[in-house]
Amino acid sequence: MNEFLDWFVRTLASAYVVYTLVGVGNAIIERSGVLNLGIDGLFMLSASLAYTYAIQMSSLIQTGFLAVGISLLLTAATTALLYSLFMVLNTVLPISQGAIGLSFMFVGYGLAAIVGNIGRLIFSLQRVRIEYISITHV
Amino acid sequence: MVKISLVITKRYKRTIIESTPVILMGSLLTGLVMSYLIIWATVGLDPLSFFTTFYQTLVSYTGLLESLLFLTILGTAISIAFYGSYWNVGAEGQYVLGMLGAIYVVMFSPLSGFLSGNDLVSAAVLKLAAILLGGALGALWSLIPGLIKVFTKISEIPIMLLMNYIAYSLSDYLTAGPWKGRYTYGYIRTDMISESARLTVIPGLETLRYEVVIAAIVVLVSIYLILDHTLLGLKIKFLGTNPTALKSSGFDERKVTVSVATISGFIAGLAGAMRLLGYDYRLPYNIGDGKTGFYGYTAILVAWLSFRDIRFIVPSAIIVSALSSFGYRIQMSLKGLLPPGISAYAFSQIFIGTTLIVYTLTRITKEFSVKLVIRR
Repeated sequence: MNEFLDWFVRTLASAYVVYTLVGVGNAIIERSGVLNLGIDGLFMLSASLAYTYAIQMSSLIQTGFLAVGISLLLTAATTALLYSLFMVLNTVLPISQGAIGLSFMFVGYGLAAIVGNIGRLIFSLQRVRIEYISITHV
Repeated sequence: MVKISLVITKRYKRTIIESTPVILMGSLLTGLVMSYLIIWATVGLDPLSFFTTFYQTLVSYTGLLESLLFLTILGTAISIAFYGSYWNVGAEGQYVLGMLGAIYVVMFSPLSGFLSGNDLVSAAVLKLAAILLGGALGALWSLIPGLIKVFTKISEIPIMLLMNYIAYSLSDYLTAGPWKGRYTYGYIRTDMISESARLTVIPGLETLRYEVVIAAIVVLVSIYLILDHTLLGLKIKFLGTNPTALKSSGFDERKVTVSVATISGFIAGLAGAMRLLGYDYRLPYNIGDGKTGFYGYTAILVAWLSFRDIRFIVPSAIIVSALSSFGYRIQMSLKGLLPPGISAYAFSQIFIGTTLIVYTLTRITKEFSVKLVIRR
């Protein structure tokens, strides 16, 4: 029984939380009458963003809990910004909602594959700069 | 105080610049330039090699035509379903069922033993039977969510999405179990279908088959005629735009939904059967792992890009197939230019997405005039 519970919590519960959050988020958009087909791409992008922010924050803030919280908030804010752009396009202009949603999905996939690397580049640049500063101080 | 507003009005008079081909080409070119600018800003690819690659993609049209034909057939299937607000996202599953039907007829049915001769007539009858059974199975697969929608008012979209996975698993079960091939060098897959059951290759165009070309034209024209010139087409359009009007004029909307589901599934199954008889020749194991080419899902994009207009299916299929094959080609030319860790795949996805967004946005100027009004 304990093994089963362990397996259950490890595999199902984590996916359950994710699916619930995505489902609630998507339900809000679909309730407003906008067809949201871009959710998969933006979901991947937000995962990538969360990773990037977490690395950035952990190099800036030493408290782990605070770093995770701030990076989650930043991810939510960025995704909200992207979605508000998506909704403005969908509601102001008489365009095909399905086409624009699927296009956003492609852009999301592409950006998701790049964002982490851009973050890594910035991170390595920062480290260089910090070393430089420390050398001049010595 | 400055007041900025966006005024969008429907056009009534058309000038030459606003005609359809100009708008289509203009939107596509704008999209290309925009996505080139993104790639240029990040990795600095020179414009010559970018646009030469695009030109080469268009010139080497044989590979393009293959996906174009399948996207046309499947896009038409999905479009007619969208007309009748039957949201057919299950074309992928219907396509797989079409493959199953076709391979059953040409390899395992009593008919295949009966018509095993090499003469033209029996081969033609066998192929026709395989394609028809593929279509019928696709129609049945589409009827299940259709009937559930009609009788219980449960949305067909989640049912169809899940049934796609059932179709994949059904195919895998048959490939690994009862239909497992004997001459497969240890791979799990079915045997190849016999030479006489394969579709006819067009001489000089090795990626094309006569039957597929004919089917694409027949499907496109007949669906266009059904929608614009028959009572059924009128009812389908009514169902999509104003179901209350359809009901109050005495028609049974449930019958219309069922017929839309049948037609749409039949065409998608037809495409799957033709894919198997003309290109794949066998069923692979783990078919859901990209081995169908995800045509059933890509065709949804084609249907959306056509803006629910059957005449725009072919242009949008051209755009989608050209963009995806250009995406592959640009990956090759970007390979040496990218910093380590950044994949060319990302750029091809961004390229496709940006081009399509700009295309979708600028295309509205065909029907609407957009003006930015600044008042003081």
